[in-house]
Amino acid sequence: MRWSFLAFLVLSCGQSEPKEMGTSTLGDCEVVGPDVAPIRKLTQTEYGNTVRDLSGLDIAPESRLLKDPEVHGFDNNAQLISVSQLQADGYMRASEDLTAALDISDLLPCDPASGEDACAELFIDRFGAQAFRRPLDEVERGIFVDLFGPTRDLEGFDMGISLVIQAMLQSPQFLYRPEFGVDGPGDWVPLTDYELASRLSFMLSETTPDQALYDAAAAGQLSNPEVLVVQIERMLGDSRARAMMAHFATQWTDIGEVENAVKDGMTYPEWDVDLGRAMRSETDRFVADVVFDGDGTLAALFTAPYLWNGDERYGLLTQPSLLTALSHSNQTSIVLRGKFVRERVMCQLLQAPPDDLDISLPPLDESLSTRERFARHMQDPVCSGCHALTDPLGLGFEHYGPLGEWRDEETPGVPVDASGLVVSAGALDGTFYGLDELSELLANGELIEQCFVLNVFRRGFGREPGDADACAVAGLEAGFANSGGDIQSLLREIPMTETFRSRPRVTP
Amino acid sequence: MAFDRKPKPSRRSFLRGAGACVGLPWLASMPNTAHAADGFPLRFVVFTHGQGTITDAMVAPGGTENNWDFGEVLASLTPRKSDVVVIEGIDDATNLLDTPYNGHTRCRLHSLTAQGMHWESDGGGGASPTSAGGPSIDQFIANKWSGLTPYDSLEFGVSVGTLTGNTYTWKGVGQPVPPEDSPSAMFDRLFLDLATSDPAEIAARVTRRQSVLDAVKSQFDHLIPKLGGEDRVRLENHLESIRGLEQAVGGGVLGDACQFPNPDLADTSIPGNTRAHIDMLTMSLACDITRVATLAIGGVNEFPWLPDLNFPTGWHDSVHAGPVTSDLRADLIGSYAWFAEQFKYLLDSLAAVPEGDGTLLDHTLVLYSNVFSTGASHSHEGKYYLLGGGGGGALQGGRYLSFDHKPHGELYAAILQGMGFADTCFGDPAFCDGPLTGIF
Repeated sequence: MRWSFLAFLVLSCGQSEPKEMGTSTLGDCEVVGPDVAPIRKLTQTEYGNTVRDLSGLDIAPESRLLKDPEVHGFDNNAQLISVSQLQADGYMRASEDLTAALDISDLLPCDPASGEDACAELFIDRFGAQAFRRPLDEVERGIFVDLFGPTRDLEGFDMGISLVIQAMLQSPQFLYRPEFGVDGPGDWVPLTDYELASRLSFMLSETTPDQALYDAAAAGQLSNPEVLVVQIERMLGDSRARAMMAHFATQWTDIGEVENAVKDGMTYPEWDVDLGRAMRSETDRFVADVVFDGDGTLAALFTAPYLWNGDERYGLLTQPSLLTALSHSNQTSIVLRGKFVRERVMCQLLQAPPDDLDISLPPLDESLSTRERFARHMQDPVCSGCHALTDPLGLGFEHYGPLGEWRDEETPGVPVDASGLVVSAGALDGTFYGLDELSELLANGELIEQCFVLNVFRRGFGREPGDADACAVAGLEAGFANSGGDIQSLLREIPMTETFRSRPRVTP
Repeated sequence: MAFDRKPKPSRRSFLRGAGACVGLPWLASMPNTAHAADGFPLRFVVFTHGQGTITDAMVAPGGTENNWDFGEVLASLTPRKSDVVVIEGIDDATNLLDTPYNGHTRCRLHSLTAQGMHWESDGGGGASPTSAGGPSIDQFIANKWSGLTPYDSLEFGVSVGTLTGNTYTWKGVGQPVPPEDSPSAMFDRLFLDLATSDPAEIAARVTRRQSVLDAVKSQFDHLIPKLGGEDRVRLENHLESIRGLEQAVGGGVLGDACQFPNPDLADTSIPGNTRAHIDMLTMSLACDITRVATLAIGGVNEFPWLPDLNFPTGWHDSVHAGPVTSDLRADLIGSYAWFAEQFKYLLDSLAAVPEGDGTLLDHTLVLYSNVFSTGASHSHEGKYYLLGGGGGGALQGGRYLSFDHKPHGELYAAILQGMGFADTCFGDPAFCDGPLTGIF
């Protein structure tokens, strides 16, 4: 097993030692067999970016769509692709909105006055290739030509082109990313250059390939690793990569929840959704700054300094968005904060409390600290099996209140004690005081690096890694560690893996 | 009025009913083809929300089947008592299959499906539930009636959100059917196209859409045969939705009671969204745009429109705390009572649509479901379900039925039989010994 035992277990509550739960499907690195690579559909975000790129219009067609379901925080899980009639209706109306907003002549590569049929066919070839991210085949082309002709006869040239655009944007070759690879021997086949360009573009930029990337694919050069590296470098320098990284961090940490947070208006009159949005933007900015302008490492993500309301802070865990989302309305939550570290930072899933257990919060008491109020979690054996994993981590956050505000006292006369303890995390086990020390500890953890790689994999591939990915993931982990946890290096490495550049043979 | 009027019962449905049961008197065949005895189509509606209730405040103590009163939570339903059956003592028993998992997600994925969740191994070497384990009762029925109306089903949502575990309605494993949370978007989908009075314009739009969708279908037909097994199924499901869409763009099959709805789309508060959705849901049934609809209300953090309620720690936290003081009990009851009031508004709306000698409510079966029984403990045992409406004459209202921990698959089986289907179980057969008796 290449996979680190500690990194990949479900912590079973009530056990003094963590035990493995569920069925591991991740085999040895040597085992490479066909794995599942389900077809990907454009997410709501990718759809919006793509339509804006294709049309050049500043519109929001994705507002017509239903939101994508989320798994582990990420909204691109290919196993849950399902287009209901309401969603199909959304695609139809979004395409109609687009053509209503378009000036068709802006998109035409020719003057219809010099021959409507020829101009329409040229448009179908050019725009169709942009929409489908590869040249159309003869059947696909013929379908659009056959749609254009009768519509033009009935309602004129512009309507003919409009309906072609609407049909293109509802076609499965646009909404999905079908991959067949280059025919050859073996269970795995290399992706075509066009398929590779799409994977690369949607992973690094959350949109359709731009002209330079498309041209490299069209020239058959993208499968050349030297060309691929140059394209990756160019894309990482683009503002879209910054937006992608911020979006990744939002989904990884679920900080979008801060905009739905409810706070007790008596205690926190300053709270409103605008403050929540400001907190979220601050985190977006922080993540992109660290990854693209700063040190660029995962360690820096946990330790880099920044200012919040004139207060110098260090690292992701002190972000007000996170601290606010992981609090109750009138008090902090040592459980939610500890659970966040376990599940999202360490990739250790926790069990839920048993049914019918009274899990109501102990009443507020101004004379007691949080540690004292929740003491039963650690003392009662019914509670401590699970809470020993969460609460001692969460207590380390206690200098930060329900809005992420710094505090030395919880209530007057009750000083904060942010002593914490890490257990069941291998080399990370030990005591710490406060978030600065916890962040420092996590910043240097192999477990944390492996979890980060797993999350980047999930978003990049739209699925969980399986048996056939074991080598690729092991390589990515090793490379990530060797680079000192450099996040851009990880993003550069993923497209170079066989898992990224090839796929299981498709058997119809 | 731009509606295309057709006589009732719709000729298409009638012919299907007669054709499917050659040799039988046509009236006898009608229940199987989803029609009430008087010829109007039968409809099925699910009203659901989360966070449980306070079970001892649902029905006044000491009630019997025909001699009982609503408790404080349900008191607003008193004027509709004769249209409602209260059922208690139901366990969402399949939850036992997934006990280690978070109650909010688990109970939601079990509540309408009566099946264990679908787990996938994850990159952590463990496994996570990624999907419900099968179709929800609404989609199960929608599938039986597929193709009879422009939409097989409609999903209305109030702040339901995007977590997979927040989705109540599923076509099957890996096929969530998420709701539309926005009333204005729903209005555009269902009714905007009917807002013009120019028949030529309507005809032109229908022609254009059909041309576009024909081309789109051809692209699916071209791509699908090249794909591997599971991807092929995914795209075939999408194609089926497009076929449904084609029917929808042709306009609804409309009856006399079909009115252009006028929901207040400017009021985007939670009560405003709820009322707007109910107004549209009612007309989507009256206009025969669909025969199956779900209204899911989720994510209610506070009740600022009910100023007497006070949840300084937020509603969710207070639900967890339970009725520890009489003030908190009163406030929790107030919050749960709000959902009952929305349910009553739904019943009133359906009852306001005349159909023949009766109303739309007479031809509808409304299921009221809650994710938990007792909110504080997240319990899936000893739940209350409500049935409303006449179910096409099948349901006798005004009754209070108490069961001793019967699994919810048996309740759903009873509903299916009550609506004229032959199914003897719903969901996981290991948790179903046949339909509950005494309901229909």
